[in-house]
Amino acid sequence: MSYISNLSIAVICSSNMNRSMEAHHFLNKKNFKVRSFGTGDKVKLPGTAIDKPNVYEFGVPYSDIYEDLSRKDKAYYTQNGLLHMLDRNRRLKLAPERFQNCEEKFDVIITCEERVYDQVVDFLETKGNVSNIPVHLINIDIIDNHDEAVKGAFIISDLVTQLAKASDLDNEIDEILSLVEDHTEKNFLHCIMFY
Amino acid sequence: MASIIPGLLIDESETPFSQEDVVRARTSIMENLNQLLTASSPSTKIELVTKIQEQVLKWAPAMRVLEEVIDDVLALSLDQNQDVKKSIINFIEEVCKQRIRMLPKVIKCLTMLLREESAMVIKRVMQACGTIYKATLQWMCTSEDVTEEMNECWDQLCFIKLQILDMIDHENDGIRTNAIKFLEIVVLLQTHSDDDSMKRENDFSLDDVPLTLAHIRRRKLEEEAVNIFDLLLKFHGASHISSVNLIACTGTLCTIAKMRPKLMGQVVEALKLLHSNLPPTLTNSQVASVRKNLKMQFVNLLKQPASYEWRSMIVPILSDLGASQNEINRAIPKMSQSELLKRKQKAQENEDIRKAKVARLELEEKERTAQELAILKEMEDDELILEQERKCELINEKFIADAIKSIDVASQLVINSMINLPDKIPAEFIKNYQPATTVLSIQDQINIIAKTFASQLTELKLGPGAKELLEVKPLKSKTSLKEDKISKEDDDEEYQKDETTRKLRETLARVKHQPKMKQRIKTLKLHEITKPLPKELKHQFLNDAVRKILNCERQAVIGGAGFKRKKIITVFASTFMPSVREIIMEYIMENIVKRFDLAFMWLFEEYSLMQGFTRFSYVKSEHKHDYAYNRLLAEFILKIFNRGTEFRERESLLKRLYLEAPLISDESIDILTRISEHDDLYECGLVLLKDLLIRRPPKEEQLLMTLLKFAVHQKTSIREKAIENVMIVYNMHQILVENIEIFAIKLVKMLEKPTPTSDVLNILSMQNENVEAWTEDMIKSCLNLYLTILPYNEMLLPGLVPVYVESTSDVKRVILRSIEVPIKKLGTDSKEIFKILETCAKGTETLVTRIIYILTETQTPSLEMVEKVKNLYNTKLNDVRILIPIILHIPKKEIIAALPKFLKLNPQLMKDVFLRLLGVKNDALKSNLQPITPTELLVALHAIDTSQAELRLIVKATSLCLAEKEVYTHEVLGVVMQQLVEMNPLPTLLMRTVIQSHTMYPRLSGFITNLLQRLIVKQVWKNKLIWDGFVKCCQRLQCMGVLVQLPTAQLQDALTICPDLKNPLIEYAREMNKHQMGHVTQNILDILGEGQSSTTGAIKSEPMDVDADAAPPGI
Repeated sequence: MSYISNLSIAVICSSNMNRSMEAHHFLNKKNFKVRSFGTGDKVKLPGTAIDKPNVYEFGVPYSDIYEDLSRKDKAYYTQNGLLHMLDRNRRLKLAPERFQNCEEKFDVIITCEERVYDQVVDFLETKGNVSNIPVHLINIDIIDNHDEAVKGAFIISDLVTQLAKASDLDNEIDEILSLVEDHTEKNFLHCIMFY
Repeated sequence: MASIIPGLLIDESETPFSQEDVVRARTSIMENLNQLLTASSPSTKIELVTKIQEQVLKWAPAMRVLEEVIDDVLALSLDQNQDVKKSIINFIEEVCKQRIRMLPKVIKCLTMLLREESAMVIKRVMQACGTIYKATLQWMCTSEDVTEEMNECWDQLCFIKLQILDMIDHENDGIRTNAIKFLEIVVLLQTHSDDDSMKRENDFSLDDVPLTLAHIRRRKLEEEAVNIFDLLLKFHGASHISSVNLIACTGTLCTIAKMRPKLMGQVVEALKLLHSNLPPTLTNSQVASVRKNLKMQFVNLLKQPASYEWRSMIVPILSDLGASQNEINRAIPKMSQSELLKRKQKAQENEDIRKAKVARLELEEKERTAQELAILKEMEDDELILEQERKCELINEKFIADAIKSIDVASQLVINSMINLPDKIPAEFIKNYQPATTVLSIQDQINIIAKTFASQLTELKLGPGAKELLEVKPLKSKTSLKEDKISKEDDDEEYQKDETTRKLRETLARVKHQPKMKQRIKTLKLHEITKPLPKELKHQFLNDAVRKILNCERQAVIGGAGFKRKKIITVFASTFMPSVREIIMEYIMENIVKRFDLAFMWLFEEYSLMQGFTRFSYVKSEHKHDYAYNRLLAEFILKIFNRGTEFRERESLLKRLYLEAPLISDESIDILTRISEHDDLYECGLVLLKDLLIRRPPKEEQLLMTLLKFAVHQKTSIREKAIENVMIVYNMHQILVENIEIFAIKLVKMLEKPTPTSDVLNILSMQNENVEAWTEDMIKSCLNLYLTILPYNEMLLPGLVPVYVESTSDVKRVILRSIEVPIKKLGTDSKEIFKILETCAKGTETLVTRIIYILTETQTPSLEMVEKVKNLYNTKLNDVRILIPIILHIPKKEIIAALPKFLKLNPQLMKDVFLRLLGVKNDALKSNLQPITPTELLVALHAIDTSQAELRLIVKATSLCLAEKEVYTHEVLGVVMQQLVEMNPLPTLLMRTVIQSHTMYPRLSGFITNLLQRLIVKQVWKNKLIWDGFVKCCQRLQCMGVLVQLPTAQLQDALTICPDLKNPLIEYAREMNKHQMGHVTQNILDILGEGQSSTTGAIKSEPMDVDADAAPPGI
């Protein structure tokens, strides 16, 4: 299988459920080389009450979570869209992945929340660099609900398309980012880190 | 390649792998490699490279195969596709990581890849270089034996390092980023670590560099690291830095600070400066990113125990950046009491040192503040004025705050006032100025600006609020005070300058944060805002500049920069565009004699460019790499060549050019060919050809062929000169002797053909002429060289024989004529000549004869030679002519035997033979060599049997002999005749010779008479011819006494033959006395008396027995 571009992308939110998976889904459809991750300690999904979240370990397959939730309260989770989301997710990949456990090197990492961005920066910074290979870290703030996730996925897909077009990404990323910023009226955080 | 090298397995004992494992690995790798070499699509190539890399590096037995395959894999670095190149770099990096001793093999490839055009590839190389640089340094430091090869590698790597260092100013953002990262590694490797250093796995610092290394010196490394660190700081502080670079650089500096706490102070200072002065070119979100990054970095620094000293500086900045107290507290590391104390002490010490450093500065600062305080006090007194001023200020402030909201006004204001900025900052600016912090809202900032401007306007009594100040007296005292202060500030120029730039930047930053400025601010890129000059104009400027440099020769020499100027000119000439090149060329040609050294420098510059000696091996694109050099050399030569004869130095300059040029191109040889054909310069050209041939062995064959072509040139003068030069090469230097001989023989061989072939015409450069048959000139051209070298190598002689046999008579004639000199030089002892004489193949007779003639013409032939010739005569070549030259050297017998044959030769030759024999011909050779005396010769001639030779020829020969009066004196002839008479039978020509002798020497008559009498005894009448001669002789000599002694019958006969004799005879008989009468028989008297008996009648005697009365009187 060949990708539309050599650019390897990671999309990261905190639980690798909604925002990152939405973007993953989008980019996957467009045939980009993409993976998605979460940075949190656990995979957290809203429960029937605000103080009763559903918590899973990273690595628990989406289908298991799906089964678990449908067992708990199928009607409720169908209604709030969680089951639908999980169904989509399990078609994309097996289970939520934690970024900190991933060995692969990417060209661009897109985070969906400033906190996640900080965690990624912190992780890369503490790990220390060995290979000097740079990676671009871009944050786009996306509110964690379904509609915003879809909107966010559009923006991400838009941005990635632009980035993939660049002949020399390192040299052009600044301009592309400000272009997309103007276009979407969002503010991105951007920095460069090294593996 | 296909078989396992046995040695490969000998030291395999340490691995648990069996031989089969190795074989299998090898086979598999080779398979992949073969596929790789034939693969065409980039993706397949990349895949295969990765595969091989995995196989070779991941599995121990396969490591052995690495050395075999590495060159083939590295060859792919020349691939067109940049991804393939990247995969090769990846391969190199991995190899170096695991097997740094392979570095010598890969380093060249790396250097080459760093010069690629593609930024991707360059970046990848830089990334790999970081790892490799570290690995190499470790390798050098841990190896027990540092080889020359390793040192060389290190030097090359240092060269790469320098190149990367240059790249920190590269126009590509990504390359800059990678350069920063590489430099971080260099700095970390080349500085000392201490206790506070953050530890990482596989750390390496200057402490690990042994002091014993000869090639790597700690001090130098550290010096370099410090320089690089300073460079990074400078780069970090640059106002045009892009956000990505800035973040990368901040990260790098912080890493350095953490790993090398000694440098932390400088880093914190730099970060602080950045915090207060963000580059003006950043966009809003970039500012946010940078600040966020800065915060993260500060927090991380704070986490380091070593940052204790700087804590007081870092904490306020952090809170300014938006960190909560909680966050800050969490970041500060827990320390034990004792450690805290220790750190405090250390911090104090460092502080003291710093304080001492700035002591002087502070002292001045104190003075300054004291003065300012005094002034302020004075001002406070004037409350009333202040009140008015405040009112005025308020009005102005409001006015300005309203006005400044418009972007146009604000930007105009800034731009216009920039021109008026003083060189030095006014003191009050420094005093009053408050840096704008980004924490403030934009409205706040506007207010501050408005306030500042308002107070300034008030001071000058300007603006809408000026009305309020009407009553106020002018504040002369204040202004004068200010002036005093300004003069005092002069000392601290450095500080002020920094402030100027800071102020500027901040004003700009402030303006840019105006609320209505929606427009995105782009990164400042010079090439975007400037328009390039029109090409023609640019070139004209460039040309003018070059002319200027050219024209300042004298000044440069006076100033001692003569050499540098020349160096500059040559670099211009060799690397700039064609118009510059032409200008410089013109300049040199203006006075070529004086500027010849410049020409040479240029030539050498081009040469080093071509050879890649220079660091910037600049490639002149569309042409071959040697194009520029060749063209330049040719141009110089042609320009000098084309100067007329009146240019005196022409020859010497040409000679220098050819002999001193670093490389002789084919083109220049072509020109030399033309020079050699030139009427005036041909001598010079040919000598040059020869000199080059001797001095430039790589080109000698080519040069020789050129020179040889001239050796067959149609112009005699050129040909002779060329042959002369060939002979110097051939004989004196003995270079390419064989080639010359082969050429000569080849040429001669061409003469075999009945008509000149196209080959010959080619060699003689006559291909355009319509030549039907050999002309003498052509033949000579073909022969000349051969004949010239012949005397030096007689082995060449046999080559001529077959040619001679085959060639036409015209050619033969020329050959015969021209071989004289060389054959003479070869001399009479030459073995080859003997061989020819011995073999004497069919068809070579004339040649052989000619050779023999030549050899004997002036020299005495050796005995051996004579022997050979004789042999030849006796066996193969039964031509008497060949004996002629050696005739003096063969025995009498043989000469006599060959005489009849000599007689058959044409008259000229025959005469020659006789003259030789008689020793008349050659005075020089007269000597004592005379195999046959003249007497013997003449006798021999007479003795020739008429069956062997026509009588006519013998007659001729004898006459020839007799013509030589000097030889054949009367005595000689006497002896001859005597001997002739003794012969039996009598020689036919006897009487003829006798008569002739008498004609020559009449006084011989007495002697002859005696002879005649003896002939009577020999019954001379038996031979009719002789008898006739006898009678005639008697008649001539009037020797009646002889006649009367004849028997009667014979007398009768004689009288019949010659009736004229009768009367004299009768007369004689009458006068005879008695005694005499006794000898005369009666019969004779009877015959005589026929008709006269009455008168004489006295003579009557019986015929005597002739035999009994033999000897005539007088003998």
